[in-house]
Amino acid sequence: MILHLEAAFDRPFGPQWNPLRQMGTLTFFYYWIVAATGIYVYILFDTTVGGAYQSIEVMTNQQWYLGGIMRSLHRYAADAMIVTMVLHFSREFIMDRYRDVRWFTWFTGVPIIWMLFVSGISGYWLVWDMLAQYVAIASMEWLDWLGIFGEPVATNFLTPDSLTDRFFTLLVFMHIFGPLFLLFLMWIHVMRVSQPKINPPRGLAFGSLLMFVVLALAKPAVSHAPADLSMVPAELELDWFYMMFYPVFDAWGAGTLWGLAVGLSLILMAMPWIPPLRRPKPAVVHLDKCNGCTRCFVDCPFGAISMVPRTDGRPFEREAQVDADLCTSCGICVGSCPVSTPYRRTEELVTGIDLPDLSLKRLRDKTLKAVARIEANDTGRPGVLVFGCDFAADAKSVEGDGVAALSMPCIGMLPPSFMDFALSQDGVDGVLITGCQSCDCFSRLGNRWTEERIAGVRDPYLRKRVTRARLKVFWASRVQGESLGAEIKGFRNSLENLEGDGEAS
Amino acid sequence: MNELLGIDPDIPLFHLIPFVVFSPIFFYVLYNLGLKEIFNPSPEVREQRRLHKEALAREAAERTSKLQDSGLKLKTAKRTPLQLLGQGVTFALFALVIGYFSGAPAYVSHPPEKALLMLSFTHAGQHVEKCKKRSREELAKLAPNMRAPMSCSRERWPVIAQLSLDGDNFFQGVATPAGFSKDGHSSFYEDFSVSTGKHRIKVYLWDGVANAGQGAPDFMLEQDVDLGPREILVIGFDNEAGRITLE
Repeated sequence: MILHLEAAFDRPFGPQWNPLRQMGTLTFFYYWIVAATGIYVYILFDTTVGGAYQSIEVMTNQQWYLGGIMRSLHRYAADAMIVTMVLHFSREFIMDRYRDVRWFTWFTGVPIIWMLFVSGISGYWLVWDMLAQYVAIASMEWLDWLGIFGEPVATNFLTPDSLTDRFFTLLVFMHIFGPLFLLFLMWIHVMRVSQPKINPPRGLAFGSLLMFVVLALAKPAVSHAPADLSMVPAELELDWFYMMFYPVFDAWGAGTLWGLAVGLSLILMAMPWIPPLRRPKPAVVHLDKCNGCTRCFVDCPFGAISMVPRTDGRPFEREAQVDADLCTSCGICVGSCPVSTPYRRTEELVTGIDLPDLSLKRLRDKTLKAVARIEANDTGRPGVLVFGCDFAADAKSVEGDGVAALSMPCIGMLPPSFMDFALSQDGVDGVLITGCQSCDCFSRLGNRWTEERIAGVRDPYLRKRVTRARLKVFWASRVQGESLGAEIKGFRNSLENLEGDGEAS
Repeated sequence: MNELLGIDPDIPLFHLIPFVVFSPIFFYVLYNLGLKEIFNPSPEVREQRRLHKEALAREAAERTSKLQDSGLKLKTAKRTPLQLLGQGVTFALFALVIGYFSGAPAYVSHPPEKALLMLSFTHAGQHVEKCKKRSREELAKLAPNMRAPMSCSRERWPVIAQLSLDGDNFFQGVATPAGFSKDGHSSFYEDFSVSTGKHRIKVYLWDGVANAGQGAPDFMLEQDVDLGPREILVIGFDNEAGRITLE
């Protein structure tokens, strides 16, 4: 379902700008919008009980062209953060990107949900209108249920005289320190991610900002009537993104809401282990083939490789070492190793870093078997060998006369020399590389590294002698098998034309 | 045990067991979950970070030079007018969702035609046992620094409140004293939606018995009120004056 939706979004945005694949980066970007506009709003804000409402009214009505827009951007970007955050973690869950080595990122995401709500809700208190009165009192009543305060905190809002400037200043501080702590949590959230991507593509960022400005002009954020602690707030225009739980609180009470909030949080936090992901054996380093070049160290998307002082006495400063707890066995390190070449036939094929469950030797054997299948089913049309990824469109499904395929844990595992090797085999007229959609690699960076290796800007490079017209790269998600089939058909036609034009190498 | 630790004998130590047991576990887990890497990375981790930074810089420099040498240009996404229209529609739909749910649909948190009666106060109940003088033998058994001549129980009675509106006893509640030893204040925080107009309110408080109705109330208030729509009437307690209040 989500993959079909993403495929639909690919049409207007293209794979790299597809907002469904940028939910995490968009959340970061919206945070910066909220922070920047918040600073401006705070400059004009009066932090006293008596002056808060009026200062916001002045900002909204008299300085609508700047203060009003800033206030609206502040609110709408904060609302959008909830949407992108929910879509972000839902997607990671659906795509099974939360277990195993990803547990830390998932686990630390749960406090972010709490802190985002704390930050947003505390902001609504500061307007000090009827909505603020309702939200502040209900929030305090919810906290009071815990019984950790000597006297109910909600009594601060009992009568007009009971709310002091000092207490109100405390609420202001909460709205400053809450978002700061949120940023700290967001930093921890991506801390263990190797080369984390926290900024969306510029076009998407610009489009979002433009959207918020238009929305701010079309529907400026406004306040309710000023708070009056002698009257009960009755009809309220809730911000449902942040206040969806308040009607639940009114209907079911504080205890039930605490049970739901804590229960759901604990379930979310425990999810990486219910059940834990079973993964293949981690990568192993063959020291006799490793010269400590650091390519695998740089390319590993999960920071599972470290460079340690040499232990075998060979004349290199360092050697690669795999942390089995962080390795997902994606094989990207195999693809990055300069020793990973299929051409050696006089000695056993061993590379500097390898996967025990799918070694480079086995990958070559599978390649040769696939080539043999092409030859066995030769129809006179160009033969195509497809290298695919286990988490993308099923490469095996496109096998047929003159087309053979093999799949691996990530397309980033494929050393470019294999493309050259495959094209040098009899019967193979073209090689098609496929894997997860752009910006959506299951192993984070596999398709990006592959593109750069083919383009000749990332080591190990695809040799220049390879005729590029005989090589096709097509990224396709699991639901885009038909598109992959159509692409292969078109590729074979282009290969026929190539041979017809006599341009074959 | 309390005497051994020199702690007031009235403090039940078993209440501290969860803190003693779970606090170290909690902090150990929290520290190892990631705080260690932030605040106290090992020399090996620091070295790996330095190496990674260097390798990334080297890789980026190579990439730039290869890009220049090869004459390749980074792909710039070119959008067709139809794609731009599609993007505009997507952003417009997103803006509609954000704009609508940021203030709609309206929610009625309290019936506008009704008033609100709030019972909210903090009051300490009487001590369960009256103070008594310690005998010489009792004093001798205590640690030297604990030999107070008077022994006073810390535990207090709960505070019991009963509300009646126009003769209808609609609320009776018990507030237990705060604290492990039940020696703190008792707090009420309740609200009731009531019809507007004139009412006769009766409030009864007991602060020296276990159950309501055991003897005459310790405090009582009976008053006529006239409540308007959405008006809030707070039933409180003035501890200095020792009386129930209506605000």
